[in-house]
Amino acid sequence: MTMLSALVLLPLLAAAALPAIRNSGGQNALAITTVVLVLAGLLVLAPTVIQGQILIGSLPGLLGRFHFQADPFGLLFALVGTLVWLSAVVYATGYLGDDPHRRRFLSVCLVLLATNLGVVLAADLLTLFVFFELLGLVAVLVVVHSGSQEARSAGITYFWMTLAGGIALLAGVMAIQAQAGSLAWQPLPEAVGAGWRWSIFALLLVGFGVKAGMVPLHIWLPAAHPVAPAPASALLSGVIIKAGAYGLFRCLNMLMAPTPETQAWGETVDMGLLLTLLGITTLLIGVVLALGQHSAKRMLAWHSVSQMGFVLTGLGVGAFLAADGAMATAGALLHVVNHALFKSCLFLGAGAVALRAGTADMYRLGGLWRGMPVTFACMLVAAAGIAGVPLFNGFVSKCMIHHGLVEASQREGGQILVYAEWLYMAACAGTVASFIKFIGLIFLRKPQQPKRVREVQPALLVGMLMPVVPIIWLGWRPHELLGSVIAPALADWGVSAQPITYYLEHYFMSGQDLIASAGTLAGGVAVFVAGMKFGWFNLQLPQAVGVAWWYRKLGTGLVNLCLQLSCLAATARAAAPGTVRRLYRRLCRALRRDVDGLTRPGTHEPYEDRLFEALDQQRDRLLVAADRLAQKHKDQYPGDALINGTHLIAGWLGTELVQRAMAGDRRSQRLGRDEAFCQKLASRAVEVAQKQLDAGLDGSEMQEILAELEAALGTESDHPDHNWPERSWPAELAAVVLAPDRAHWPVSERLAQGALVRAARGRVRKVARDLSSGLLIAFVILLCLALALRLLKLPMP
Amino acid sequence: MTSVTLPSLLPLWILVVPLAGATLLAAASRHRQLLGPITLGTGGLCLGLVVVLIMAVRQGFQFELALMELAPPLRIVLRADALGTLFALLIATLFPMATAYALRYMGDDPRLGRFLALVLVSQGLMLGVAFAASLMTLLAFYELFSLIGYVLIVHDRSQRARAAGLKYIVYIVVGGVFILTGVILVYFLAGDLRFVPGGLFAADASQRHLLTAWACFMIGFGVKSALMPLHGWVADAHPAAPAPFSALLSGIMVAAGSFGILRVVFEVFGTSVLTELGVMPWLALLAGISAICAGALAVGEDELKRRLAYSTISQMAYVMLAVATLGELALVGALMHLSHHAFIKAGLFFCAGLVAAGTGYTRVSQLDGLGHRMPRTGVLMTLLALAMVGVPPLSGFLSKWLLGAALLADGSIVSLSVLLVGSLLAAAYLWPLILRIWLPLPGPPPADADAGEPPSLMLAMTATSAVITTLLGLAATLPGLPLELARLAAATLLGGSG
Repeated sequence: MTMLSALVLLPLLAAAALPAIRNSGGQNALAITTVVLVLAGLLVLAPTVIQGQILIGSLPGLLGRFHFQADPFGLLFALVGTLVWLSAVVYATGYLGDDPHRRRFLSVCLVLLATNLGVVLAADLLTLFVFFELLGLVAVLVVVHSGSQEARSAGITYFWMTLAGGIALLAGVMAIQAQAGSLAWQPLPEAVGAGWRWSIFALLLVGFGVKAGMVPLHIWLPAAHPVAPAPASALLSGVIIKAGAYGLFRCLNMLMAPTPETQAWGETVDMGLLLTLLGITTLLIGVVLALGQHSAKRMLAWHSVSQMGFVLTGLGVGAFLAADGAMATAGALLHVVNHALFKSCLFLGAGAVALRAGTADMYRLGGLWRGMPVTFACMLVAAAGIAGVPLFNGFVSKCMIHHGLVEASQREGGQILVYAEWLYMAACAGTVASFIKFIGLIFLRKPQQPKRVREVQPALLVGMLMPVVPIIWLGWRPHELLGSVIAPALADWGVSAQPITYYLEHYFMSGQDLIASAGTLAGGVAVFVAGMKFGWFNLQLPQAVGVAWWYRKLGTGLVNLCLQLSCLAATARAAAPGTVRRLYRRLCRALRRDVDGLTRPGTHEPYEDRLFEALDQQRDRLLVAADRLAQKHKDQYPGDALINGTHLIAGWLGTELVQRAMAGDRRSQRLGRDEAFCQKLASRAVEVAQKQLDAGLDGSEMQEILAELEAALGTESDHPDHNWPERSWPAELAAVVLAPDRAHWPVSERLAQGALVRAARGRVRKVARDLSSGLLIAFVILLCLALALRLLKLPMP
Repeated sequence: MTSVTLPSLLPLWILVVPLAGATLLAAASRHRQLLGPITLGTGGLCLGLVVVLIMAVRQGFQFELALMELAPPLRIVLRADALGTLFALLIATLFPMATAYALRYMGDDPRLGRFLALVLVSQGLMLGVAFAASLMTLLAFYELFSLIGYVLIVHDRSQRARAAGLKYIVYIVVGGVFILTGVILVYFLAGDLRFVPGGLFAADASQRHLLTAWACFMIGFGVKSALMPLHGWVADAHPAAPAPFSALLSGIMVAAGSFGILRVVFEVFGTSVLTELGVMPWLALLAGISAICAGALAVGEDELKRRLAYSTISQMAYVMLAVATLGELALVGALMHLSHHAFIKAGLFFCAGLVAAGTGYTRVSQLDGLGHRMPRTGVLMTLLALAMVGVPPLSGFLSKWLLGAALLADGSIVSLSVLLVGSLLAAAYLWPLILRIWLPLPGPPPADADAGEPPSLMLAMTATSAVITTLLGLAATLPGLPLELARLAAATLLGGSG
């Protein structure tokens, strides 16, 4: 077991152990310790990996083993992710309070950590797929955590999008396996044609794009992120959606990259262009819809869509520029890190505000900076980061992507990207406006809520403060990360690192970039002022414009189609023409007789079976009662004489009762079930048996009892020629052979000679009929067979 | 790997143990406290013998035993090869689970002894099917267990069960006649009925006759394996039968039809003859239609067990889809899917039984909020449903992965799309279960708000199937598990044809 596998396994083991801990302090300690240990482990590995060594590890599973590897990119994603995890888990320990499901939540958080590590450290596509799918599906649990109706519907959307994306991804991975013959991270062989490359790219784009919130696959994101508890939103927006970006990055820069021998980028350039356009659409739609939100959390969720648009644009431009794309690609990777930091911080802050103020609606809040100064400071830094204010981290990555975009628009085939650049700047301005609105409405303006709001507990503050330091640090000194980690690693993959060093030397904090930034800031202020003045932020688009509406239509349409198919099948059965139906019914009746007759004779009247069972039970009941009574007087008589005698007499009485019931005497049927009546008969039987033993009575006593029974029943019944219920003779035979204790039940002569014989004769007749029809069927089948053989002109034996 | 064939009584012992157990049960059926020990002891013994067999088969041995001669060409011969051993492993594992489940599920049924005895008889006969070394042997055991199946389906004696049983027996008898016809044709054409990897037929056999024989076998075994136009009995029989038998019906009995097709495809006709006949695309077409249509019908079905029955039709169609490619990888995938589906589906039917026993509910629309009253059942059902959809790292994903990769390697993109659409449909018919169990719509609390968890033995058996499902996904490569046997079987079956 290597360090890497231990890092993936540790959170899983902790998650399994956590539910066993009852007190909340222990749970918190375990969760935080685990994340700290993972973080420490990754930090220990970091120096080795940065020096260019690739670490490997594996865990048993599926067809052999899950393979892990840590290269600089994987480790970078893992480190940033785990840092966000730490802040979210620390925050959660305070935020959850005495939530009834806190154990589940913390446990799920740890599982998500393990699966996220599995995704970014996966050494092959199958491992990646397994952990990616697990990550997506386990996250359903945090989305629906609150159990509210909103969470329910968000969970449904989330599940379906994740599943559909998973299936596309699976198809893509299968295609890679079939075409390349290997699932390792390496460029596809030259032999794979353009058609396959595009198919694989399209499938992976859908699979990863769903997770990355790429338009038009983003619909789950703005629904799911706001309904999750704040720490979970931070994880979802901060880290989990990055798994999609990570996958696309690997796909474009590794799978689709040229093999070292050829250096031909081929289709990858066009794929990059496609991804750039999708990215621009995503960031624009995200910003526009974010501006229209009232709830702070929903606004942040839409900004996640938009910020992922920045990342996708960067990745796309990087691929479009092929070997010269390092600046845009590095910008995208840096933006992933940046977004993880500021978005998790923002979600945690919004959660803190909602916790204290009781609402996340920005238009009903105000002046919180007094009550929550620390939260306010954190939010200010994070907002500056996301808005791209110079000296904060977002500025660096947005500038890098922008430079890449400008360069791409001057390339051949990239003319369309000139417009993309304008839209990019507009989106930056929109982001600024949105966060002016966020900070202004919640913290700075006059208080709107009646009561004063207090600052949150220390655990929440620690959680929020954790990302703040790197936000500022990366804004001041991106050199270490860009120059020492990302650039050399990209160079290893055959992408020249020169543009990155060029950026750091010439563009970083240059006048040109600062002016562009000032322009977007001014534009943002203008949008904010105009929007507040003219009420643009309250405009509502019709539902049919949103792609979610169409997905819902499609989904319900497909389910309805399935229902229609079911109905069709049912009606087809019912609506067969009358003659066919009649024939079918007659055939069924005939067959039922035969089939039932052959396999289980006499069962076509289950009512009579039940009657027989009921009657047997009556007789048993009487016998048991009599036995019990006789046991009491047993000591007065030698041996089992009294028991035997009672048994005999009670059996006789019981049989009589049963016979009468069978003869259609409903009264005896009812009385037989009556406990008191049974007791009375039983005591009479014991009495008679005693008398018999004492005085040696003759048969006349029996007649006396029978007369009494007659009187009790109160009817004159002389066993009319009744319709004797047929019981299967094999069963009866078996009953006689297998149940010797019943064999000596007395049977009256009348019954033995009359009804039983008649019944037996009827039964034999029926079996004969069944047998003959069975034989007939067999004969017909043989005839058909012979005919078939004759028609086929086979040599007859 | 070349295998060594040894004469041995082992297959016969494996087959006789359940039959002997059934006899014991019949004798002791009045002593209820004996039922459990006898059933479980028999199951355990049989499983133990199968494990011994697997150890031998892994070493490259085959066991053969000529049992008797009905008439000169018609010999009943048992042979334990890799394919048969794989199927025997499924039978020997699932039957004891189902009988143990039945001990509690039907605890107050006066005819429990009879039920268990018949289940054991059918276990013995199924093992006979698994170990059949010739068409004649296969036919004999196959027909016998099909008939026993009828008695078990109508066990409830309700009107519904009897109607379903009738439908079942009509389908099966008609199918049986077709198989018989096929067997006779094969005998006339090839002069032999043994199973030989690579096929029996000479190269100059008449195409028309071969085609007729093929059609007969497809109709005959297709009935049992629920290929689409012949699936009528499946959706009726499953809900009518007692839950433990539904589990066996789906997991083993339907699989037996596919097993028969495998034998016929690879050991009677052989791949070269079938490729020449050109029938495989038609089989793939039927299987594709089955997979999609049955999935769609399952989405529209409200009764839980019926929904699961349609799901069985859809899932077993994947097996046929893979067999139709005649590739070795695809065959491994098909066998894996057969085994994994058996455990998952049996587990789901167990869950349906748990729900019915705990609350009396049989419809999906009644499951709202069940997870909060029966949390363990809910968790197991969720896990098994996810496995059925094919969520990694559960076993359902593994077989889907193997199937898909094999189909794509063969260039059958259409088949792969069917597979993926099928799993989307699987999600569509199983997700509502999960959703309703855990996230009910707001409404008045249900009438059975105090219903608790069902007896622990039933729960334990369901949990066992869930554990097996997870294990088969996480550690499929352990020696002696289905994957190894499936690879061995595929190598044996396709080795003969070169």
